Amino acid sequence: MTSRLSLLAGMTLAALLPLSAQAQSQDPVRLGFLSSMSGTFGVLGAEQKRGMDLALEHLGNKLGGRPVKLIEVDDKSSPVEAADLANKLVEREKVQVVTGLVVSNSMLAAIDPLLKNNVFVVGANAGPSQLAGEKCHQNMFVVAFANEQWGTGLADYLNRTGVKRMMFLGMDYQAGWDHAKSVARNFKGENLGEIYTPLSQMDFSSVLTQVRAKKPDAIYAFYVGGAAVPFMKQWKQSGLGQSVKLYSMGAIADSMLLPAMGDAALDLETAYSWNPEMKTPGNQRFVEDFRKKHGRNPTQFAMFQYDAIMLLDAAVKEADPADADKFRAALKKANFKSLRGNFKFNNNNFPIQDIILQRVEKTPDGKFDVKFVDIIKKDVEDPHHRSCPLKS
Amino acid sequence: MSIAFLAEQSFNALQLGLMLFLMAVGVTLAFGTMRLINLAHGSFFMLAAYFYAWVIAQTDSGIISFIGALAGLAVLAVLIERIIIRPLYLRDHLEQVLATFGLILVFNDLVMMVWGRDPVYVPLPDILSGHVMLGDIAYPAYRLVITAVAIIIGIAIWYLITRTRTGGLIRASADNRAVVQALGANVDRLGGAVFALVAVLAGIAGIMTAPLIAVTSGMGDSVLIQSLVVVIIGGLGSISGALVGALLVAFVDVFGRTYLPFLLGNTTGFALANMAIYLLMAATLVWRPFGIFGKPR
Repeated sequence: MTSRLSLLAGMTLAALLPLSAQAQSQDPVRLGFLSSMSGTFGVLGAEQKRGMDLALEHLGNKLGGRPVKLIEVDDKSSPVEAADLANKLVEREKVQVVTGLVVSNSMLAAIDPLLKNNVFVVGANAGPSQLAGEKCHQNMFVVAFANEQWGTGLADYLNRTGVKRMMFLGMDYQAGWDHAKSVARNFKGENLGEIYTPLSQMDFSSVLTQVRAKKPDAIYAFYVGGAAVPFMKQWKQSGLGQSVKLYSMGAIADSMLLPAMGDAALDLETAYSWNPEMKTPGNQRFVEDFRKKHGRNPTQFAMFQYDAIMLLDAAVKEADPADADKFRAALKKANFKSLRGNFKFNNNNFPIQDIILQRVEKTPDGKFDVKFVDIIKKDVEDPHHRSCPLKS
Repeated sequence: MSIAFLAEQSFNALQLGLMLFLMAVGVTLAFGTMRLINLAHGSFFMLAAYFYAWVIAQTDSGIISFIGALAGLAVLAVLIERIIIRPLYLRDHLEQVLATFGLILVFNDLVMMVWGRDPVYVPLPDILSGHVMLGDIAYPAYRLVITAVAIIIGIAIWYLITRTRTGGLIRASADNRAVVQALGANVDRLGGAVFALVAVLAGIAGIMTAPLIAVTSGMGDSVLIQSLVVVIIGGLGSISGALVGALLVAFVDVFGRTYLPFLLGNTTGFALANMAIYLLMAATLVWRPFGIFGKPR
């Protein structure tokens, strides 16, 4: 009898002990997820969230072994709403770190209220050039990319493979210019012209006619969001693909958009930071678990957010977010395994990363998939880091 | 710039113009016959594309899907007319605008709830996926078919409006609804029929455009704005105005985008090209405040 009682008491004690011992250091990390989960960019914010949820699942809902208090807010793709929510996250929810931030406009609107209140920002997609340059900040880290990186890598590849005459197409806004011009600027052959179309334009026949008239060897086209599918379909229909090679960046035809394109994107080659087939540590697990949950390959939006959570996990392991100096140093070290492989932060807290080439191919079951081809340029920096006053 | 280039760009503009005409003629007919400002017109464009995509995924038959989608759309249009639009005929235009704008929001969210946020795939009919040689130009066969269909429908509408008894009633009730009613014609039923007709026209435009663009929530919104520009330029209520306005807008748009950046440099050129159709609209309104074929009211 006594032995049973003491066993019970011992078990109870054993169960309670870890609680009391860790109570102080186990305050939850207060993490805000501010993104656009509805509205124009809702597709992207929702995909980010899938990446975050999977990362937290893999970490047992802990960051650096500590519980997480996650506060998710949706700015409905509106910068005004984003600024408002940023203030609420700071004042009402007392968050220590904010992640997400899928769109540049919203990020620019939300960034001041966050940084002024000493909140750490870990951006997982948007990387407006101002924030990479003069307006960089010691407490702001972007794990994703700067607009110019993929184009810089791609131009290098085009120069190497002997492409002589090119045209550059893009959507008429900051990202469109940044992406298309970064290829155009670094391309050593002949530039036959740049054409920028308004965001609302969905009929590209007149643009394609201009391409046909100029007879380039290849074109670079930056079309994302609602314009990506129409552009690819009309490109295929124009028959130009038989004489002109098309290059772009990965988001024009990722696993969310490919099913809507049929065979229109076949043979398209794109520059990107990551591909589901890459043999980097953790990548296979990420891709397989994502496929199990959502029935398709993850996109890069989910992957960046997954990386952002893994970065936070590594940093919280080393330092408490309440201790700003130590936590900042821990983030800067980027002591985590990025699914991209090679990753480090530049002086402006934007990534230095390898650029890859991928190609859309037909799979044996008659569907289409983005296949990893090769790493085309290693350790690519963005051009803005020189105007950032931070030291590395 | 060679002749072939000019010819190809003209084909592009003609095709865009006829597509805009199919949309604009609906806006103008609804206003002409029922004094109705119908912003939900873009939603019919979108819904038809979704219906078509859904039926073709089940049946694999382009013709069944085409007819099925349009039939579904017509039924929906009759219901909307009966329940939402009819009480608004005698109301202020502002109330019509608010109600039909509300419909845009409702339908944009509804399709997202039913079919999801990701764009839906609409295949191109196999026989139309090739090219036709027009002299030296390999022009996409599908775009030529769109052009031909739009011309046929344009002629059919012209015939309906100017040569048939129904057309006569439509024109008469456009001029004076009360008198036509007093003469014993069922103006309410006519309104319902016209509303279904314009929905079907928008639907045809939506289905024919679907294989070229992305079928997503909100795909009709930018088309609606362009067709409003067309109608304002051509004159609200005028069918020939819709045709002339649509072709004007399309040619100014296509050739503006081609030549303005070339003439004025990229920055000014692209900015001006984006504004071109709106400048055209402003200029038309200064010249003729009721549009080219519009009558003062």
